[in-house]
Amino acid sequence: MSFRHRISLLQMLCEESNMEMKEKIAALENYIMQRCLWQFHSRAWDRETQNTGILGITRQLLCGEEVDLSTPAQKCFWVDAACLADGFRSKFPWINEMSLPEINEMMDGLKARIDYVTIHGSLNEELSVKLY
Amino acid sequence: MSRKIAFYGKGGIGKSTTQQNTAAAMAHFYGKKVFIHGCDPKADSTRLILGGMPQDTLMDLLRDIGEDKITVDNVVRGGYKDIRCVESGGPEPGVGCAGRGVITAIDLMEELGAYTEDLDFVYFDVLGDVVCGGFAMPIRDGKAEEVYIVCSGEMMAIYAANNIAKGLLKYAEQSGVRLGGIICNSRKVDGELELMKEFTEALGTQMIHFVPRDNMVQKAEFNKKSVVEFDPECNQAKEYAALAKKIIENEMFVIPTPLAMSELEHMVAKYGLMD
Amino acid sequence: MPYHTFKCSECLPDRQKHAVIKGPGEDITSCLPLGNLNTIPGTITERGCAYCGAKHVIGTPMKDVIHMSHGPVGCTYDTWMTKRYISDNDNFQLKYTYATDMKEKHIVFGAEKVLKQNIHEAFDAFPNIKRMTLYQTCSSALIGDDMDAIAKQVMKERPDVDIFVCNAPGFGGTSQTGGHHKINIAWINNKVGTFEPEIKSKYTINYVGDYNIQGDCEIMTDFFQRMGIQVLSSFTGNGSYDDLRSMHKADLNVLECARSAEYICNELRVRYGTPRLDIDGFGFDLLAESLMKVAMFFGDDCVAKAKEIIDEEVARWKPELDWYAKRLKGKKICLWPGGSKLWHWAHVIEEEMGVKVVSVYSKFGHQGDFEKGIARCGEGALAIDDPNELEALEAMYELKPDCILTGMRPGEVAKKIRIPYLNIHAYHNGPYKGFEGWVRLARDLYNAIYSPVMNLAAIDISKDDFDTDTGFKTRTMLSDPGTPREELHTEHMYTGKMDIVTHLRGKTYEFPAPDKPVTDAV
Repeated sequence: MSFRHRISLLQMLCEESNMEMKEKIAALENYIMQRCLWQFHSRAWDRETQNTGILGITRQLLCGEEVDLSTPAQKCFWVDAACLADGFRSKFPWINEMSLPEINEMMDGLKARIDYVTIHGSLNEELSVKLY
Repeated sequence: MSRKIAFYGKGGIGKSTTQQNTAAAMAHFYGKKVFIHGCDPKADSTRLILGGMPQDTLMDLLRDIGEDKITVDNVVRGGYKDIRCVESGGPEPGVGCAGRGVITAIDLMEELGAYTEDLDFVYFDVLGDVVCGGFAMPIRDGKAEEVYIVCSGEMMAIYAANNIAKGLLKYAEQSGVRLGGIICNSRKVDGELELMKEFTEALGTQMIHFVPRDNMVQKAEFNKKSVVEFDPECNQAKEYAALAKKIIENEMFVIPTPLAMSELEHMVAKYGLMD
Repeated sequence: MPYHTFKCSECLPDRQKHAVIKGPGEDITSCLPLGNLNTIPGTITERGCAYCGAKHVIGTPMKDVIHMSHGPVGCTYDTWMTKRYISDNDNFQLKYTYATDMKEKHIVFGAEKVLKQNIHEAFDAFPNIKRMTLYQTCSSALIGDDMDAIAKQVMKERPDVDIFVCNAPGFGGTSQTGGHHKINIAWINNKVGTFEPEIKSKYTINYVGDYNIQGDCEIMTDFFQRMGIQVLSSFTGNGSYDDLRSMHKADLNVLECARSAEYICNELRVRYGTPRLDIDGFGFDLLAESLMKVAMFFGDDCVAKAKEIIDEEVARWKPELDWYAKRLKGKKICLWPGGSKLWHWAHVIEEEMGVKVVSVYSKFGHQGDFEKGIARCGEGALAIDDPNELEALEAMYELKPDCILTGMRPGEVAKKIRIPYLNIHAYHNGPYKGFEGWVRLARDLYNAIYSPVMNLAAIDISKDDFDTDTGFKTRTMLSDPGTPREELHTEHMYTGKMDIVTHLRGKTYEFPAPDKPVTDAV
């Protein structure tokens, strides 16, 4: 096999796995959008906090890491995160086969997507209103 | 803790001029942080501080972009010595309800947190007379805690001041608002000083300062400036400095005892007939 | 952007961005109508005013309170009794309505005196009620009556009463939503933190954004209390005034209708650090997960009890839900509520009852509500913000739904074109919350769709409807003729009682003892 040939094969493989990752993220995004309410808090800064808090803990749970539950706010994030992680595992069994780096990559991608859909790409003009 | 004070007085008495010069003097001579909230639909309570800069009033924005989109940044302007200014504005004469405009504007500013803790003074500059509930807003419900009435020795100005005192009396108990004094903006009428002294005494308050008439005021105003900014060394600037100092140090806050119409007429006639 | 233009609104360019169709591949970043804007001339809106939003949606469900409007008598009288927010104190707040009856002379000379007199008279007439809410109306707002000051005076004169003033005149906002906002903020600013509750459990919540329509709130608080959680206050269904003054003491705010009550939850989070947990009280799946979430926040003992409740309820009611789901499958509905059911139901009603939501709308929702609703509803759904009557008619002709889920006013319009409607504001035979409630909704939906009454209404009465040898056709009309008769009255239809709320009122609950109160060092 020529060098050039090997490179293009590798690229193809990469693209394929990227593609697959994209689809996985889309499936998770869809699940969140249909079931959850936490991503739709009132203002852009609330959504930022919610997305970071809940998806961060979801990632920790999927990776089997320790979760900080020392404050009521953390605990409240954890409640949503734990239900989400359980839902992910039962609805998408392929998650259980993924390696830690893959889960991390997937969750980074998911966080970026949820941030986009609910904050940066949101058409909701009230997100920037300064008061509640 | 900022002191919230309201300036009232008959239209055309020089209330806005006095108010802005006092604000400028407080900032210039005593380094005080002042916020001026103009409550006159004509929106001319801040032009000397802002150098005549035309300003979108709160009511303009309310009409054009809607209540939700109003922020402190798009209505409050900084002027001379960083005095912060906002104008309520209101409808053109003869339509709508300017009084409601005053209520809405003050509520909105409070809601947005425009009257910040670091201010020494918040001024409300209020149109002429207490004509309806809306214009009493600044003295209602503790929005302004002390009131200064700008007056002169002319009969109508004294009538107006007495009326404002009546409004104050009504609200004094429920909101805690007090009269801090009468500022005499001299018109050089006969027996002015004596008349004002007797009038203020009868009201149970003080004449906190007698501001002499000086063309310097008009000259500065022509240049869209307060006297203090235009020429801080001139005599008139010193008069405003004195007034500012008296307000800063004022400790005499009273519930006024307004006069009956007959008493008032009698008093004015006494001085008016002196020559 | 996949905007939908109604034919009847082609002449109204301002309406063009108020309706969207969720096409293939669309999400909320490409498909979202405008919301919470002023109604424009030329459309007849179904909205209410800010005063109504403050008083009749949020204020008046409070049960142990005299709710008085400071304005002409019509403001309160004409909006009285349109809701069914019942309460466990014999519906005191529903039975009476109070107004100061402002007249011309009060506008000219001020109405503070008459207000004060009215307050005293009302307290004298109801000596057992010591709490009052006062609502500003357009007229009292314009003349600038200082209601706060009058309230303070009365409280001084009658030390045993407490009065809340809500300054939300009818013109204060685009619709009722302006009033929701104002009363939320006024309550947290003036009343929260002024009362110390008796803490009976280690676990405490505020249940926020439920108005106890036909008992919804009581069903939910029963669940929470069975889980060992003390519901310190319910905002505001079946809510008590003093309980609501102690909202600051709860460990958690459990929020249902974010549209009407997210403001107070957000402020409670900022001012007191109380977390906000959004839940769904409707639908088996979402409700079960919601109860679990609340339980998980507190601990394993709570979780065990929640599981017990869920298992028991699901086992009891799932077969009956399925009976209806089988018959509702494929039926098309328009989900046209005021606000929150737009997203609470959009997905789960399809999943669990098999109906297809072909359209969602909201009268006063904000864009945030449409985000949730459109995210949850299926492809092809038509989402409309603040529709007018003609648009709703056009949508019904286009979409040919089997039932409209909406309020009374648009519901009556639907009837005119012989589409059945289900009242989801005041409910037909609620409560609809809880597991059993969800079955009741399925039952009401089934009855609405399968009732022969609409066929009957469609008959041209100018002609005889019968052949002379067979008798009246209408007599032989059957509901749901496709279902064999023997299946119609089997054990799997809804078997609950007519009244499922009253029996909850005498119940006692066991709570885990609260941790010893920490006394602040002085």
